[in-house]
Amino acid sequence: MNRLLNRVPFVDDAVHWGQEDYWATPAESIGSNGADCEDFSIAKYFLLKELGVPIARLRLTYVKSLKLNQPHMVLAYYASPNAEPLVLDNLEDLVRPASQRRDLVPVYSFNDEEVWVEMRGRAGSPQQLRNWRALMERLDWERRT
Amino acid sequence: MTVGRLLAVAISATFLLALVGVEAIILRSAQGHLQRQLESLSQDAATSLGLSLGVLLRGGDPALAETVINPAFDRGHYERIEYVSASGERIVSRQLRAREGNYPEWFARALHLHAPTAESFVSAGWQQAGRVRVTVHPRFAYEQLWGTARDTVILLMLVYAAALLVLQLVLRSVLRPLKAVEQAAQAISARRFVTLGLRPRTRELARVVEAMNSLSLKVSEALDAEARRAERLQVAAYQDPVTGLPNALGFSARFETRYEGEDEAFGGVLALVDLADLGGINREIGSERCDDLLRTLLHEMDGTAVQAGGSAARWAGAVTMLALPQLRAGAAREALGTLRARIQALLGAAGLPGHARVYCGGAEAAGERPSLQGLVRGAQDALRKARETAQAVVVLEAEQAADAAPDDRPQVVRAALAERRLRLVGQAAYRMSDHRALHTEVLVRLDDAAGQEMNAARFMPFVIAQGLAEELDRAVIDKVLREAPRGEERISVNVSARSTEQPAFIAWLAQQLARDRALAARLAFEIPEHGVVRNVAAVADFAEAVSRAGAAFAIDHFGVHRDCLALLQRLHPAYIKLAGAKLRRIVTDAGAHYFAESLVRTARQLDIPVFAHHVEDEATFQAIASIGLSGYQGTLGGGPVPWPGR
Repeated sequence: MNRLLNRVPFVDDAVHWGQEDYWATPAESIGSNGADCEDFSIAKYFLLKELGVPIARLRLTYVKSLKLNQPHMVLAYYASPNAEPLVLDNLEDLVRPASQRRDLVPVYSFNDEEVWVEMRGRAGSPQQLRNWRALMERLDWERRT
Repeated sequence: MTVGRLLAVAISATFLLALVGVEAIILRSAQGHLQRQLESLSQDAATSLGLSLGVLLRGGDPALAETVINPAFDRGHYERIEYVSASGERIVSRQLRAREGNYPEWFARALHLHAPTAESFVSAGWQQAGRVRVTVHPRFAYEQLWGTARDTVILLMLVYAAALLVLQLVLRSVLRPLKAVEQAAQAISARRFVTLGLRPRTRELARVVEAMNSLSLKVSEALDAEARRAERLQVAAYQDPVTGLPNALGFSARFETRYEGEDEAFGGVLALVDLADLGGINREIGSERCDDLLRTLLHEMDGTAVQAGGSAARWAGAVTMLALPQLRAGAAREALGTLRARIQALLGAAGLPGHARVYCGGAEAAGERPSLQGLVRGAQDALRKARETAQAVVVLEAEQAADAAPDDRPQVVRAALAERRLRLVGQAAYRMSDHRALHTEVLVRLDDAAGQEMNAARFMPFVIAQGLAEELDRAVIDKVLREAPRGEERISVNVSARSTEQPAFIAWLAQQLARDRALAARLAFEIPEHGVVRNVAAVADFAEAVSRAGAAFAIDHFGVHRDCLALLQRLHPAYIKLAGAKLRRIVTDAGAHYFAESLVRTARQLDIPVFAHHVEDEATFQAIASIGLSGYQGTLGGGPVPWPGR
């Protein structure tokens, strides 16, 4: 799956979407045949979610790539809360445990569950993780059309 | 409701609506804004705590978590911060005690803000280290919201107060002309014709002022014209056109009015002077020169009469009437002789010695109240005797019996007044239309030492002569005020014009009236017209004082003096009573009837009811009803009865 999605060519957001930072839906990434690190991670996240993987095991993770010396995003898979995660990266087709990815320094992670925090019965505010919010709206739109 | 109050209410209502609307808009927008602020605050706090915890916990010391959370929590913005481990164990949990915010509870209930909770994962490297959960306390948001609400309310109330103040100031300046117009309207209804000098800036008000001024002018012109017409009629009816002296009608009216009242009785001589050959003179020198001569001669005669305290009148053709009230028979005979010689001298000087036949006949008054008719008859008898016997001057003496006894009446009257042997009687005045009693005129009687009753006609001349008028008036008014029954009955009291000349009397009366305003409002004070014309200024002061005290002022025996209509405008009496002499003539004399009609019309335009005295029979009643009088008094309605009744 990792390898399959990694075939989509890497295109920088600024080139691809004319924006500094644009989080594309899986359909946009595949349809436009171009993606950057967030787009790959997002596409993988939703694909696995569709395949029935509980989202509690998935985390979109901000990392720093020591190799490229720049911010990067990968998808981490935790078999259990205390387990060592597997890393799905668009730079490497091979899915390897985190301990074997010394080139990545994890910084911050999130998933649906966290973004959609329970707020005394109310849905999360649009202010939270603006990019994620926009993404979810587009996804919702795609689903309906 | 005044315009000011109406506008104030309208402004208040508008302000209240604006206040509610503005508050609602401000608070709703602030509420939404603060709600979003709270949410982002919770999320930011959760994210930054998650990040810093992740870095610290990489060392594997969970106790550090509390050290990180404490500073954030102690800032006071958070209701609760929790750190839960990956296995779901609650490691750190800090909760704020419920604390009162700086805002009322109802306000927080009315504008509810959610306390948002945000969550952030904590990762120690690749290792999941649980999650941090932050709930923000909305207290600060409520405080800010409350402050905004309070400040806007205060600001709007200040604007509201300022608006009301400005409204009052503007209204006061705009409505000032209206107040003046109102006063002018009141003045016009009180028959004072004023012209407003102000020019309001508001166009509507300027038009009102203009209309008011033109109304005032029109009404006053109409009244003036009516008064002038009546005056012309009065002059025509009472004056001889050639000499300007009164004619027989004018003389009778004056005489009767002067002596029908209670002030004086006629005690002198009434004489007729006949220029027997006036026809011959007229033929000889022509009517124009004859009229000139007549004017000279009659003014000579008038001079003689005035010297004797009386007056002259052109009685008929060549006959002139002289009233000589201060002369008894002997003195009159002497005066008439002198006058006759003077007339003959004048005729001689005019080149008419051949026509100088002059006869004089006089009659001396007899009894207490000599009638004019009796005196005239006596004078005519004397004149006839003078012509027949070729005696130039004949004066018939009154019978000696009438004043044989020494006259002790001055002392009797003085004693009766000093000992307050006063009795009051009342005679009602009735409305023409339904014969309902309108008021009761209180008359006074004095008892002599033997208990014999004297009416006003008998004692009044002595009261006047001895200067006791004021004392009598005080005594009567005092008695009326003490004895007046409670109720609705309106009472009128006669006052001598002489009393009104005493400022002390006016002050005393005002003081008496002030004690009982309700009674004062039922009282009217009547002064006879011949008294009023003697000192109009004093009577005007009196009328003003009386009406200030709530009582009314009226004129009795009205309609004889030639300026009587001017008195109506000057003094504004509450009502007038026509002179009896006048009234009797209305029945018989067309000119008097016409004049009375005109007088009543003028009075009605001034809102002054006219009453008639001495209505004694149905014929008189019908006559006065036809000219539109308001009420009557006299034996037809009922004579005087003891007052107050039971």
